[in-house]
Amino acid sequence: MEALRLGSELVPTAGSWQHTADIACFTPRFSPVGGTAYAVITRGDAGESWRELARVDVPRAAATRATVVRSIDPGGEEVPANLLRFSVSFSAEMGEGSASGHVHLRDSSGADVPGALFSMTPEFWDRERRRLTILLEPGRIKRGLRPNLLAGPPLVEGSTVTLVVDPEVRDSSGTELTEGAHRTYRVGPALRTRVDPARWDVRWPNPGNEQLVVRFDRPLDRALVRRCLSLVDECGHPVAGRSTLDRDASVWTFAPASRLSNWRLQIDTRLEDLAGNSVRRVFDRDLQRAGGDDRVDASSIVLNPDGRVERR
Amino acid sequence: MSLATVSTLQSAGPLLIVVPDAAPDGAAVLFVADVSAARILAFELPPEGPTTAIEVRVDRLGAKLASLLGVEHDDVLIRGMATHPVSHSVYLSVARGRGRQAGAVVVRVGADSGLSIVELDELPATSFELDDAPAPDDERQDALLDGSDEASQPFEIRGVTLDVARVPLARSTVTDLAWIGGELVVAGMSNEEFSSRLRRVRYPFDGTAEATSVEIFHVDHGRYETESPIRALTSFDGGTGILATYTCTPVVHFSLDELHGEGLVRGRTVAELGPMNQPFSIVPYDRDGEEFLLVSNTRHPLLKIPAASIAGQSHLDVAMADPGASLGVPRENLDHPGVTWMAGLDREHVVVVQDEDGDVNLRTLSADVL
Repeated sequence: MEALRLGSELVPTAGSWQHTADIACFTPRFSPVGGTAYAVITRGDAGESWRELARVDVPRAAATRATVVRSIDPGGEEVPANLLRFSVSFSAEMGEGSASGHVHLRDSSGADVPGALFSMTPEFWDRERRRLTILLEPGRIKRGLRPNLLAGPPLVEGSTVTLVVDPEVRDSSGTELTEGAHRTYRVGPALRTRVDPARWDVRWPNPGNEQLVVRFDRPLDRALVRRCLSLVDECGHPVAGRSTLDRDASVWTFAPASRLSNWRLQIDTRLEDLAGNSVRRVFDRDLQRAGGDDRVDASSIVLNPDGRVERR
Repeated sequence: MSLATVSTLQSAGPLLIVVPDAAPDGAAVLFVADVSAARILAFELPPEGPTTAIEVRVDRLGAKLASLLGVEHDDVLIRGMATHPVSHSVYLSVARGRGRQAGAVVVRVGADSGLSIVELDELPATSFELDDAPAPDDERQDALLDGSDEASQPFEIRGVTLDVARVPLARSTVTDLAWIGGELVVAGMSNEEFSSRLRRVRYPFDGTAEATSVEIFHVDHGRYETESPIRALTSFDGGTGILATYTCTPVVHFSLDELHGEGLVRGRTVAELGPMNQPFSIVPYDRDGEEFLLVSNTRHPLLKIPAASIAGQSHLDVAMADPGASLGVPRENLDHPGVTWMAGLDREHVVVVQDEDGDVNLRTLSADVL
């Protein structure tokens, strides 16, 4: 309908016309979208103005709100002042494009923290389109960059912030959430060291407790823990089993599906903490500080039950 | 990463049109980043004749795209743009509709400014997958004890049945495509790790075309070394270099010679574009025999950078807080507000999508106004 305002520059909707006797049949190139109004117009010749013959309203499909926010990460109560990302998991497949403007970071007074969140174009969804990753403005987190110097970091140690997800975020059927969600955090000190598996407390399975329990040196990024940690056999193949991660992503438990064997824990060095520091490197390295360029070039680190740490 | 069977484009992303040396009859190839499917599709376009037209202009492009695609105005989103090097027609990748009804369409704007749908499924096509497939021997499982995940399956462990799902894999997305040194260069981001990886992919995709991924670091102001995803990039210095703009504002130069094999490459930061801003597109053009680069931004004005200054610009090695700190190469703010997507029409004309008066317009900016 809006197209009618284009007047002489009108662009017809893509599709094909079939004329039989006194019937004209239009087959649209694309299926109609709910909530759209169409006009059928005609004119005698190119010089005449258009005359409206009919209107077709395609109603929006009536949908019941059923999708909810299942969790917001980080899952702990405190986040580092240089926190890099939040992630929001939903109960159903989501649409794209509605999250921008409907996810906010608010201070303790309820006011938006201006410029804290990274513009979400494109939005970062996982393959199942259930988990949305939201970055804090990296230019403000990274020391030495102009946004950091001019506007300061988005989070200030000692303050309280709340991530708010509005109910207007839409699922893949175009329906809004049943309700919004929020999670409040205390802002702790910045983290500027590599994630160091050598400092993890690892309890290997034994006949009395057939679970591997790993207590990290700090809370880690939940999605990356799921991808970057694996128990492997002598040939380096991942061992089948069931893993769980506690609420603040600092204790990982793995129950192997078969009996204890000569296994070891393999860590992909891309594994990151909440501030984007990985096993490989610190998020922003201060090259003027002694050890500031400390970096692990190996693609994986292997922890052995006898305490040996191998770089591969 | 492998050759794959092509099916319909699932999501609209950045576009690129090139005439690769290997293409038969000099036919152009349209590369489309299928963003949510994490793959690049390559379509062989039918030959298009040369044109003498030097200006492409469409007023109220948003309303016209909405009408053509049969949706309301706010259900149209331009996600990429490329120009045909021979015919000067403009190709736009467009997201149509939302949610499950959403689709991806490529629309061609002819030299006569007419809009038409590019029937991609009728074109010969190949594709290149960006993400690793799950390893066949990876039997790790993740516990989802309430069984509510559609992907979860019953899994018995020592007599106890749990609902578990496979360990998820990271999903890449594509931020820009460029043709540099006879290869397709793909810049992207991951939904998980905050890394900077540049892929060089040979075309034609032939199944043996291995992508080379290089990690890109840059040093800011002599002190802080960081990596971050590349937002937009372009060929530079006759195809011997790459000029990349980052999510965190720097403009960084790399020599193509350095980008070989797996490993780590450090770029030279030549400019910082300023706070609270993301670059949109970076495009080279010539004016009065001199080369310049245009950078469009989400917040800042359209910026003009003389190319010659980049070769002479040393690392930004004075901390920003120090007196005399440099923002790098000289740049000039141009008075063309609202410019988002850009693509070079020829060396002296740049086609831009420009937000104006509540709609977007397609404009051609000639070098004499840039």
